[in-house]
Amino acid sequence: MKTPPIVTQPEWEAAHQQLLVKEKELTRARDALAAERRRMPWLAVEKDYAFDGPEGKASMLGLFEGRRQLIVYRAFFEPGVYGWPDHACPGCSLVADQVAHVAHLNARDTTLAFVSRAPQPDIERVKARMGWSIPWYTMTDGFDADFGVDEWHGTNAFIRDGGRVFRTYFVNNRGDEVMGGTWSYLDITALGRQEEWEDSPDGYPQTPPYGWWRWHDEYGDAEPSKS
Amino acid sequence: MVEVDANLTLTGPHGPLTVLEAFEGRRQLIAYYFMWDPGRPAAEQCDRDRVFETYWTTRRGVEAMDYSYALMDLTVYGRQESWEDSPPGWPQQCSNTRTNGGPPAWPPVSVWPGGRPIAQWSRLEAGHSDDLGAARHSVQS
Repeated sequence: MKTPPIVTQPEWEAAHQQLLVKEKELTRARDALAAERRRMPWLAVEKDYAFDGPEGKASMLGLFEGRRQLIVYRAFFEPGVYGWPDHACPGCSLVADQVAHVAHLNARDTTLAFVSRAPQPDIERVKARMGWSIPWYTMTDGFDADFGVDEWHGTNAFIRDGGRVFRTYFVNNRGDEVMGGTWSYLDITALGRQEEWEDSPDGYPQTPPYGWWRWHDEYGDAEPSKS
Repeated sequence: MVEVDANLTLTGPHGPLTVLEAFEGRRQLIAYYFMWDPGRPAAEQCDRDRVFETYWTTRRGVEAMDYSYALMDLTVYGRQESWEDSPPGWPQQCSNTRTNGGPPAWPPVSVWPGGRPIAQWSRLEAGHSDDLGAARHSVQS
């Protein structure tokens, strides 16, 4: 293996400053893309999808847990998938491993849920074994086919207006690589990070950055941002 | 990359250790400055091994850092996957999630993209259609 040159600290700083220009281009391009996502049309979800959860049957609305937005990752964990029944698919397990504490998403009125075809007892067992606490439901119908996750993993974003649910965004394949962090998840939602600096349509809920972050055990009943 | 004094001293759960020891025997180290105790580490001499700083990110750059792939993207080796544009001889393995066969052997494909996605195996095993073109909307049980 032939390494790049080994340089002095000032030379290294100069090379880093040069690449920093591209890093910032990427950050700003990411912001601009997220702003376009917030202007994507919404697709009404008309079917009544049914899931099994730890508390029994759950509807699509139930997955929101009362919050305004819902992010659903389809993880492959079912009979026939490599690792069954001891483990979910290795790639989907890696995704679960890198999910941040969901309190921060929840504070933006957004719920994260995983869905698989495995029955609840298997999901509960593997969650306990792997130390995962993400809400994780069992699909019972055509939810996966209808939302592009029947043959490959993927992350769907939804929003609700009262009892009406809309699909607002979808990423899969390498798009899922960046999922897991609070910011990446918020950046695919219809409302974004809900911070004042964002380029969002008029009237979208926004509060100052740095102001809404708390320690994950001190959000309490803090009000999410309101429009 | 720039050479770093491998014997810079940190304090860990088990007492003092060098930056080299913070690698825990692995080849690469990513350090996040958690702003809690601003005490500066003391430097000592070392003649045994060498450490290089290969990248540095801060402010909004850290946003993308809290998951495994993004952290690996910061390192000099990257994700160590065969599709990456890396200098010749860099360690790379095929680590894609497609295979040429099902369980228990799961022989990996050597070329991306190829083989079958994992998701298809359960369908085949359950006796559903292998017509992948038309099966997309007809395989739901």
